[in-house]
Amino acid sequence: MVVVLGVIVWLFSNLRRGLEQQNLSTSFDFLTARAGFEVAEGSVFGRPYSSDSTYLEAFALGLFNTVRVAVTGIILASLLGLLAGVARLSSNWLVNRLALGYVEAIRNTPLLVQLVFWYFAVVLQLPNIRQAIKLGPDVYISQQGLAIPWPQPGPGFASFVPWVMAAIVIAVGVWEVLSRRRRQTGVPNPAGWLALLALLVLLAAGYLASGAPLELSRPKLGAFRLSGGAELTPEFTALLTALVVYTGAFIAEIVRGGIQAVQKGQWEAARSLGLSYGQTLRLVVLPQALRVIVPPLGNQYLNLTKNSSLAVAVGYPDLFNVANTAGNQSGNNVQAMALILAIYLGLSLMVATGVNLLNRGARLRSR
Amino acid sequence: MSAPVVARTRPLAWLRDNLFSSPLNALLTIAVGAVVVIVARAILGWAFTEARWAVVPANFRLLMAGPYPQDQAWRLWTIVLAFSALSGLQWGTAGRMPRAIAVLLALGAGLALLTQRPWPSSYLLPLAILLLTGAYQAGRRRPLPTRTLAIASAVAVIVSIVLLGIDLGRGGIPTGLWGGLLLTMLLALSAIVLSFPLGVLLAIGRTSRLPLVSAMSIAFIEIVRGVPLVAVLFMAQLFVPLFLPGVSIDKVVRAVIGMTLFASAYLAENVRGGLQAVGQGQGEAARALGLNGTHTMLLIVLPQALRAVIPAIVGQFIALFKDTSLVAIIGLTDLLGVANSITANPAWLGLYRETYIAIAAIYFVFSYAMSLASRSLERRLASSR
Repeated sequence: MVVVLGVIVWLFSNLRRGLEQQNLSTSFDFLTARAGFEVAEGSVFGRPYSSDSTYLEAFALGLFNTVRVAVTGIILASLLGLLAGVARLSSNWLVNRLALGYVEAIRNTPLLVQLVFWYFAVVLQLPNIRQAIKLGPDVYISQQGLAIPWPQPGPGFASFVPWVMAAIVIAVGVWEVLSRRRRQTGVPNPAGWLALLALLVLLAAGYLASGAPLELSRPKLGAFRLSGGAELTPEFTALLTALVVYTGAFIAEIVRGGIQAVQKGQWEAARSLGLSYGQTLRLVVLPQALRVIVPPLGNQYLNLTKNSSLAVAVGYPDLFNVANTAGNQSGNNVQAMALILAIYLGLSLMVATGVNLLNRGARLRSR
Repeated sequence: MSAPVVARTRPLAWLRDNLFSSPLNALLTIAVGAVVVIVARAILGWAFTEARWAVVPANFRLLMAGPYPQDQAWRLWTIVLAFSALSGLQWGTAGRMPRAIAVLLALGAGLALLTQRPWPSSYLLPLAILLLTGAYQAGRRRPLPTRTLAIASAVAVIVSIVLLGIDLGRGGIPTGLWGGLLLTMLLALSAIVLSFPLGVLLAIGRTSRLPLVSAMSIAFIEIVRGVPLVAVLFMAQLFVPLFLPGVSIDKVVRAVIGMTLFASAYLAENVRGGLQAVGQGQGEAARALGLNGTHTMLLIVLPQALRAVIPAIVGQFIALFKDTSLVAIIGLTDLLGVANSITANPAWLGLYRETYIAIAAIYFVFSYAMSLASRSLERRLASSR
């Protein structure tokens, strides 16, 4: 014990001396100084970033870019994983084997190799913008990334916001009151459906009353560039694809394991009680499968968030990339690393809290 | 009991049962099948006409060993041959070789014989595979004790590292020249071996009753697990020289330190799971027999805990093997780093697809083989309970 403490004290005194020798500071004052480097993409809450912005703003932008790719990635990877996991259980041989091939090929190769493959060998090899490939209505993919239609606030946006808030409050209220009544009286009622109906009706009324608050901006193919819509850079497209495809394979295995963990007898018992296939799945099988699925799923979400730092390999300006540049440029590597540590820990904590909340809904309730 | 009846279905019946069992299923088969045919035609068309696979054999040595001096290649071959024999023996002792691996080995030998290359790899690689199968057969006939094999492997690893680096009479081969698959393997192996004692200590520390010890262990484990590996590797590059002034530590060693610290935090969590799985009665019985705390831990609890988490540790090793690719970001020439430098070479400019597919295949072969081995290990452990 004393030895361990001694070693730690010795290491840190070395660190302090080393920092002094190399003239590295340990103060965080540099954060308010002018950053002086460009960040390729993104803006924080509409505030444009330029090389005149401060280091603090650069960090915020990096954090925003990390959150952007992580949240989109988590949603898409869950969908892909669910699809592939169900496909793995299909009785159709072709579908089953296809899903197996996907899962095994992806899980047994490194994410970073997949990422550089997507970036250098796929996205950057696509035709240039003039010959952009049309993937669907208003969706284009080219060397310069992916262009998709995106809603933009129109003139009536300001008056639409209170409607949205009111709709959410009323829908939650409806759901609370009705489900409490159901618990107390035991009489079934469609609480979820009524709440959804209230939400949709209020949103539609608000949309009409405020007069076109949102406009769908569609990408248009010009001579040299696309205009309108949302443009996803090649770096973002490659990073997102790699993260989604990689994590999706792991989620597929989790989903398959979860569904297989529900015993066959549960299906048979539910069906013999007269429940339909949909009811059996929704009321009997899924709640039990979720209990097994949610904890490892949360781990995958955490992994995806942390893996988004591989962005540095393709030059997507995520938190790690920006912080690393900032640290190198200002000579404040130590503080930059400390900030990276703190922010990633915070992010991990946030994802973990979210998963815990989900888990509370899914766990076994013993009465 | 009689042997199970194996249903032998005719192809047509198989098709009906597995692909066209219902109208919906038939529709699904046709739709998915069409997509598969289109995609497969495009990929195969590219692979057989457009792709310039010459980049792979031309850079084979680079992919395997990086800039390791060519006139010293005998060191590598000695190691490869020794390990082929050892792993063959191990497999023979452990049980059946999975069929997929046998097929892969045969394919590898065939490919090596087919390539027209100057001497070493064209006959040494088949020789290695021959050695492996021979040792496998020998191991099946006369299984060796596990302890002998474990000691032999440990000695082989140490001798290999010495053989790789030390050159009698000259300065030795600096780690900067170790590269390719060799470096990938070395990083993964040394990180898992070195992280083992640290991880076990951290796991015990976390369950310790001394508040300071457990707080420090928890802080280390949770901080490392909350941070991406890239960040840990960058920090190791930056901080290791600051923590240890006066000692010059090269980049490879710094990467090993980073990966070891990273792996030990995850290993600690695995081992902790094992510690929790050991019944409390075990520790209490040992104490009642008069063993002291250290002996109880070392002789009674830890062996059972480690045995329970062997599959998890193997899984972690596979993940670590794949994660070594991240050292390419900090500028080491591991398998991925070599691939990056090949695609930047004017002679092979732009052959991203061929090169990256080739290294992905190498990673796949190794990690798939390891996951097959770990599955059979898991079955063996489960059945020996």
